[in-house]
Amino acid sequence: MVLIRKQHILHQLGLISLMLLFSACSTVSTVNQPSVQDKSTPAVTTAKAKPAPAPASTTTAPEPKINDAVEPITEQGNSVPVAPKTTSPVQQNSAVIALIGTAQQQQKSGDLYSAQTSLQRAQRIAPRDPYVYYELASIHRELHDYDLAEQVALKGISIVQGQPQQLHRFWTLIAQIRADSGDRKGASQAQQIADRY
Amino acid sequence: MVAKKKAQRPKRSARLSPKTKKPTFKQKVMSFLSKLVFAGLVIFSLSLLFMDTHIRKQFEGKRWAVPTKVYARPLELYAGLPLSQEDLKTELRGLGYKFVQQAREPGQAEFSSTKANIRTRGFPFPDGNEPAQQLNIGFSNQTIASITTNSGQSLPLVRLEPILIGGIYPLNNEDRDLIQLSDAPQGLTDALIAIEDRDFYQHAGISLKGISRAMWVNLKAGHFIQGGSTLTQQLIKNFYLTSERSLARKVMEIPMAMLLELHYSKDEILEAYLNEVYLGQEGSRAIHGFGLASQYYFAQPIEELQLHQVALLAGLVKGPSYYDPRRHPERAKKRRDLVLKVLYEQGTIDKKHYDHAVAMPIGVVKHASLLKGAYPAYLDLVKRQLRQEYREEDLSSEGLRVFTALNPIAQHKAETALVSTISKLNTIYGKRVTDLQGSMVVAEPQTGEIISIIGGRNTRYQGFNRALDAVRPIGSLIKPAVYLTALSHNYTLVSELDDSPYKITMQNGQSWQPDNFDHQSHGLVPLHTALSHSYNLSTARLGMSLGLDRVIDTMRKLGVTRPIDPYPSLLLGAQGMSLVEVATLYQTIAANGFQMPLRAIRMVTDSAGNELSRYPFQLKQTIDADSIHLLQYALQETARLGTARSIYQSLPADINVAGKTGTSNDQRDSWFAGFSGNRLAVTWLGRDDNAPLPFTGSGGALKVWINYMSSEQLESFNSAAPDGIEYHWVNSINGLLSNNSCPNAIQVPFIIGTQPTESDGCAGNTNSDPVSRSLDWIKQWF
Repeated sequence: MVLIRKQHILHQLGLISLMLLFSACSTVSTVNQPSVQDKSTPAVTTAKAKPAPAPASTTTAPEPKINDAVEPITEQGNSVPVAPKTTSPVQQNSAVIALIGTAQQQQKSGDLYSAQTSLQRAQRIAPRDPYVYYELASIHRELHDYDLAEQVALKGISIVQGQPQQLHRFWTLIAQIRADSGDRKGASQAQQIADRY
Repeated sequence: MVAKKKAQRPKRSARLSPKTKKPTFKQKVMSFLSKLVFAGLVIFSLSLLFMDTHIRKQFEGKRWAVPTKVYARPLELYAGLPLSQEDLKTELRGLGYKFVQQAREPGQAEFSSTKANIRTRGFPFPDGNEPAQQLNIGFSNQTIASITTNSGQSLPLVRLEPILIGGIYPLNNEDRDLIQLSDAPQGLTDALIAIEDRDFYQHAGISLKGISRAMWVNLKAGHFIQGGSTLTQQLIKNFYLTSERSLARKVMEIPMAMLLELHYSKDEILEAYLNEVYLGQEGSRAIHGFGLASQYYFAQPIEELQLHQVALLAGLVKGPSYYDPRRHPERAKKRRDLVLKVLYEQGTIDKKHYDHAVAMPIGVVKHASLLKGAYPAYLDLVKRQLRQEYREEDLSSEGLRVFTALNPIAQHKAETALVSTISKLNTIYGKRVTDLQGSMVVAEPQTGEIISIIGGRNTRYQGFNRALDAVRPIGSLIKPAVYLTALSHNYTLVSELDDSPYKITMQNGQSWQPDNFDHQSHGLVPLHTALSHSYNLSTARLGMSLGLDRVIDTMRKLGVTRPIDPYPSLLLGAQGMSLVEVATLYQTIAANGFQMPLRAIRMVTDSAGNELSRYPFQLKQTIDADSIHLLQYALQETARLGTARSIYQSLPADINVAGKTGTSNDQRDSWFAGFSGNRLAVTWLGRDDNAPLPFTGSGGALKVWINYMSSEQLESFNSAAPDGIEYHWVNSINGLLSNNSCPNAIQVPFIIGTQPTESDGCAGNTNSDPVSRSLDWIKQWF
């Protein structure tokens, strides 16, 4: 039944509807369906519909499809969702933008610890915002805490899968961190990775 | 008299003369008395000098040992924050806000169906001052939709004051919140002076007028109403002298009071008095000063107190125990009304204010709503960490401020989940679960902050902290470490494991023969199924083939630091651990292989807000992202299809969670550890006497976990597949490559190059690339 309804929509709305369908279908999982539907993750859909840190509200999901897709939801409860290969850019929260702005000011005036405090506040609000990790890694670099700087940057990389621009930025930062710490070989390796993106 | 003494000298020098008359008895007495008086004067002057030094030294030095204050995390408010009105109310209740029809004063809040209007108090945070302001908060779908000021200006981010969750007290258990004279409402000082020392601003330390007036009032009333001591005398008595009632002490009081008045202004003396005075007792903790008393009796800062409240506090000075407003509300009200009457009679307040104040109920809060003492288990962890870095003496006297990550809303939900689940289990199992205990740790998986700890079913009990100190066998919670070791050593999720009966004989001759929970052998099973269904036989075989050393190495990488016994039974969780240790282990799994020390403290400052130590976000990738991704898949399978599948009877299917059940030998411990995108929780149920339970991990601890997680606004656990991972369709029975249209086909992640090469023979599965196959599927519709 679900399948017939889908065909109908696809024929009617073409490609745009198709994309919409994917997001709705992400809650549907039957053996007969191909994996594409699983590639669009629920999180991506949610992140677009709502500000970043807001989780999908269980009772009031905005997508109407979810409400009438009672059966598929139960079905999905029986299979492990496929992780997406790429993440989509986080829509930044205005609170986080404000805090990052403050942190950059503090960094400029040399008040690195205050900048760290502001960024950790931002991290608690949006722990999946790569900009926060980028700035935090830069602060640790300036504090000459190179090991931690690199780890924070790696954490950032773990949440920007499939975003070439971000990956380039983070790997370039890691190259700089390694260069500052005197690890020339490591720096050039990181730069090579950065150049791939 | 001294002159007289001198005049006698010639007589004394003539002593040798035989004609000299012997001094008369009278002269002898006089001489003795003179000497005595002289000596007395010398002693008196010396002691005055000594007293004076003593008074000045103590008054100008550090007057009081001020306890360390420990705060919860401040609630950050911003548009987009998932927060229900009920959650906000929980927070505001903790802060002692009054819920009113119209919020006019700081510390008041009004709620309508979709809005909240709150008047914040502001707070001097170490990284900046948060001003007191009026906030209009709009809610939509249990989320903050907007925050504006009264003038309609939109605010990106606002912090509420942090809830004070406890302190570290000096040995004498005196607790106080220091205030300045300017913090005290005028009504308080007026009332205090009116009832205790009407001539305070006129006298020089002692007041004869005051004493006579007190006598007159007492005579008139026929019983004791007023004492004659001035506020200065009372301060001297409490501040410098012991509490014994002796004449000597009374005699000392007078000159000391006068000396104090000589050196210091009336306002300085009054300020010291406001902070020194004893105003109540809570167990061994003594409540001193009006600053703390205001919190203790009204859960409000002193600046917010109304006339009837300050009158009650001023009335308490005479006898905090006798007039205890909680134990003797009638007595306290009578005393308060007397204070108000005196104020009225003196003309300090008018009839209207008097009538209004007298008509008010005493309005003290119950103990429960004051959050000191509400978080003993969390505070315990904080204190342990502090004691590693600070001297006890400094902790109990320097007025340090400690900012922690405790989330009172999450703590409230966790407590409700634990207590209600235990009570349900009581209904189901009756006597078999008498004395059932439980504990819980909740952390934020992305930042590694511990946001809630429960140390026992009686969540306010300060004793045994099970979350930290109960070291219990973790049962199958250890299995992820075994499987992670395998996945890092060329095993895949579909590798076949042998689940046939197993027995080994150890070097000491003892044999170890594990068994599955259902006492069945499952033959050959795929690795992911063995983990999600928690099979013991295959796990034991797998672990032994990998080697205990490697498994222990993985445990270390996951963050376990305690000594580990390298026995085969380790593989099935014979090793004891505390909840916090288990949380650390699962935190590493939730954070994609980044090990983070779990943190409770964010920052410590001195009393003026200067930073002393900070505990920044730290992490280190100890497990490669690919292996962790595979493990996360199997732990999600546990929640979807395995031993924890009851989760999805309560949680919505679009929220991914991962976790593991655990049951120790003979069902003595019931465990669950699991996480969503924004919450990691470890739950434990068991008995202190180690008696067996009538349920397993999924029958007990998992229920607590589900109960808690359902009460939170969860974010789905969504971790992108790392570069080194590819998903392939495989046959769930034999683990061979399959096709999306084939029976029993499931999608499973593999480290690139480790996927099966052999096909299960199902038609048309030559194309193993899911993307191109999917595109083919799309094309057929056009």
